[in-house]
Amino acid sequence: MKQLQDSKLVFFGKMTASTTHEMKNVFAIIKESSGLMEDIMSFTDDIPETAKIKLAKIIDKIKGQVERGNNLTQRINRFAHSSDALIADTDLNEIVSRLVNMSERLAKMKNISLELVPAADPIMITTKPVELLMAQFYCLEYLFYFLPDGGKVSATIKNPESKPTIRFQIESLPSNPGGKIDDATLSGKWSELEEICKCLNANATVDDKLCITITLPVKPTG
Amino acid sequence: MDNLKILLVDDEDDFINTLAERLELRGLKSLTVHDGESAIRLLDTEQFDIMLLDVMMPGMSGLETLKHVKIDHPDLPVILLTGHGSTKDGMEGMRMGAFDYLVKPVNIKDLLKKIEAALK
Repeated sequence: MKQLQDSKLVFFGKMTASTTHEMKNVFAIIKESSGLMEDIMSFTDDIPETAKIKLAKIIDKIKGQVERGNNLTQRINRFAHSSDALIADTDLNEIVSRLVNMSERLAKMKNISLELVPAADPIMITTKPVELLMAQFYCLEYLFYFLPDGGKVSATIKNPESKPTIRFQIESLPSNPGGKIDDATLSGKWSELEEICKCLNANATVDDKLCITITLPVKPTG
Repeated sequence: MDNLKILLVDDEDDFINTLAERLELRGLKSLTVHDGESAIRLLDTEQFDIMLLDVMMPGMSGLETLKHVKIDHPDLPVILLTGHGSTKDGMEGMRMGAFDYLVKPVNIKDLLKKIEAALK
């Protein structure tokens, strides 16, 4: 059963990563085409100045969106490659940024801002990348539950005494938090996090200032 | 960089033709082919100053093509075009003799700088 689940993950990762390569080609063509329009404008004398100004604005918009699309595609590509290996050597800074970047949209939908505070140096760990991404996601989901609309959550990466940690914390509450906290829902979310932390041999703790800390082993066991 | 002749190899028609047109506007003559096999055949009959080669192509891959090119035309500078997530291929290509690599979508100014550097 476990083997089938793993194969499914690898399958989804491969298909998604391969599609991002096609998307990248689409952006490359749009970028070159807008570049050619720009070239034609600057190499041609008989285009009226007002038209040139308008076209330049349009081209800038296209370029901006190409960059945006390209960045998103890059994120999806990195995310999809997370399932390449069940256990992999990874930099903790990088894998946290991968999840935080991918969660920006979810946060934005709730007007929450996300801040990543990486460690000064890379922290290399051997871990199960997909499970670690899931654990981080559950932390964010748990904290987002306290922030129905607005607020700020930070993800801080540290390595005190060679114990790699990720701390997710609500940095600021919205002025009018609103919403209802349902204990059963919260406890369900916490159980999911604990379950996934078991797979990672990691430890998750929460304190009442609404801060979750995951402490990871440098190498996994089991 | 006048009178330069560039061989562009990429399976994406729209990308390569547009890039060729942009290079043409800057006085750089280029010929386009869509796969590695055609590039290798063309190099046997025509002289080029530089080659731009996409890494991810159906059939013969960019790196395989590079291997053949480096055997028969060791002095021809090759700049690889890679996708993000494929920078490993770019590094591998440089180890195999490519002059450098660029990540798509390519910035024309960066490309011109690389071409200039490759021909120095």
